[in-house]
Amino acid sequence: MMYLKLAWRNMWRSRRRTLITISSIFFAVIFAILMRVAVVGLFDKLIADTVSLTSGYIQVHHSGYWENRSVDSTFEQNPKLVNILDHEKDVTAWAPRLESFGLASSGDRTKGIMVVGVDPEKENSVSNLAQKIISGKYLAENDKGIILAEGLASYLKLKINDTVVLIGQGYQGNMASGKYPVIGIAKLGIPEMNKGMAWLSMAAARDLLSTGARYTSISILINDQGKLDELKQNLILQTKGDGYEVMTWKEMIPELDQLFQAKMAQNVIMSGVLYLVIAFGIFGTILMMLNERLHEFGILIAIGMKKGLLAGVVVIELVLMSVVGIILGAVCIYPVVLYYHIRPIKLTGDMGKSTELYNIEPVIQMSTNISNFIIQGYVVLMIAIVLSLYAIFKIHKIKVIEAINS
Amino acid sequence: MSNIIESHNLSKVYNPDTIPVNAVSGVDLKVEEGEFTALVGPSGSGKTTLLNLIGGLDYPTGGNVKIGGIDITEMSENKLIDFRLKNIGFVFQAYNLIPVLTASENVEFVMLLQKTSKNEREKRAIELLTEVGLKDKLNKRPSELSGGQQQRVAVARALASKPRFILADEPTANLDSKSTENLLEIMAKLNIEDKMTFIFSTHDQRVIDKARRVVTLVDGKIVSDVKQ
Repeated sequence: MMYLKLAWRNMWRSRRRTLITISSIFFAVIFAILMRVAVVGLFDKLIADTVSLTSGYIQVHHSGYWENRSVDSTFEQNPKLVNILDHEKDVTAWAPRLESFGLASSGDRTKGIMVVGVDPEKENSVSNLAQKIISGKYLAENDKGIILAEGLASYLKLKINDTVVLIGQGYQGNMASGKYPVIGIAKLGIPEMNKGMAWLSMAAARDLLSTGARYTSISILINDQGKLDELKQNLILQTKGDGYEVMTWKEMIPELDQLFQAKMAQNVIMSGVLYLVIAFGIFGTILMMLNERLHEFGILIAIGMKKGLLAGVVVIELVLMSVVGIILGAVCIYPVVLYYHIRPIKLTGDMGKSTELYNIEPVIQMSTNISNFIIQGYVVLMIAIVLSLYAIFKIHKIKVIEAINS
Repeated sequence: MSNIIESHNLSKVYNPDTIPVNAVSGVDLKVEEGEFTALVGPSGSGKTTLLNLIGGLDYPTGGNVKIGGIDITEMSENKLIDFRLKNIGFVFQAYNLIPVLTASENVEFVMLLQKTSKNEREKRAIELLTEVGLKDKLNKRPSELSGGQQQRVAVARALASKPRFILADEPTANLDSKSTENLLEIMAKLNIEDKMTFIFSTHDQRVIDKARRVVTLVDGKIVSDVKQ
């Protein structure tokens, strides 16, 4: 305890220098956290929006379906699979889907779209589709109407109660065609999806595609992304021999994961520059501390303090200094992050347009995931500890008499 | 009385490969328990170097030093630090207290290094500071104490580890006459009442007058050794 007290008081001996060092850590931690939570938040939202409406975090489908995504690769409703999903603790929600590509037509306009047959209640638990409705209403079970994405409705010049014609290929070569009244329009954040998606009730989709009681996939929402692979393996084990294929969103939409990884790599480089600033700040403090206190170190060794113990106290000082900077930085920036999580920043003008070019919703919703704060703190702490190796090295090289006479 | 310190043909040469300086040259010295010995001599005579060698702060280039019959010149640096902690108390010219600790904590610190329990540390720190007349300054930091008071804390710190002897390098050099008198009284009292062995280097005639043995060094050699 006394060593800790000694380290703490020593830390405040050069109050101004300590405050400068702590400030540099404080601001660097703030900027590093802000950069990270913005990127992670942007992609968390992008991934959540994309996968919840398309693949799900994990998808169970007929073996080989994802390669050609043909309505012929469907599977029948299976009570065993339902039972597995209902009892798997890491599954937050799941929804069956019957998906097919087709043409939507109205007047003289036609567009290729993805039409999705859904169980309205289950779908909403996975994709929150009902909350995305901006006019009209959400689907009810066995509804005969259709929900169009806002961009698609706008392109086809359709409003509520107008009729859209769908044409495509049904199950085993059947012709799929039908007329559907527009009952709802949903606004999706991701530009490409907002221009090309439509939803029918499962009954209406089965009618359109002539599949009978079959699905193309079951999309699964999970509560912990860290358990993605573990859950996948679990499901593979439990459905072995049933003809299913279980895939994660990273396997189904690798370009999204790659984009995320590329952005994170950029982020690491930017953070690296900040860390370099911190490293120089801490190293400067170490150099000055060693010079200023060499005489004192000599006295301490003379009266019987082992060099290892002395080095330990110095390391504690540096760690304390870093911890103070880290905690202050994290605590001060958290309310800001929380604010921009609740009220995301809408990117406008050129920045908004350039974001949309990447098919990303121009909204930065900062991530409040505590791991982003911990990672930054951990990195800064590691920098301090690694740099303190220099102090340890120098203390072990001290010659008592030279130090006392310095 | 048995010899607590023995040096045999002790030498220290600085810059042996360039311009050699014989700081201590062939010194044979025996100090018995309970002595109150002053090392005197002009500047550059080797007093401080001899104290450093006796205190295990520096290694000799020739000869050896035995403390209680143990040759400390053969010890590794780490063992020597441990040996100093258990056997030798130091009082430096410039007090050299830890500035961020209070008087009491400075005294306790040495006991902490010895892994003494908290209760015992606190009790002994109070006893020692009372003994050097600083009972009312326990919680003062060095910057709040006068030079004389700081040096008395340094003496208390040197005594805290229950050493076999205390080495003091010009302990009164920075003190005014009143503080010097005060410090000498305390050291003499500790020597007489507690049989604590003191060896100190000094230029100060008042200190020399108090010493019971005066060893005079010139050019690193003992030129006289007088008991008074």
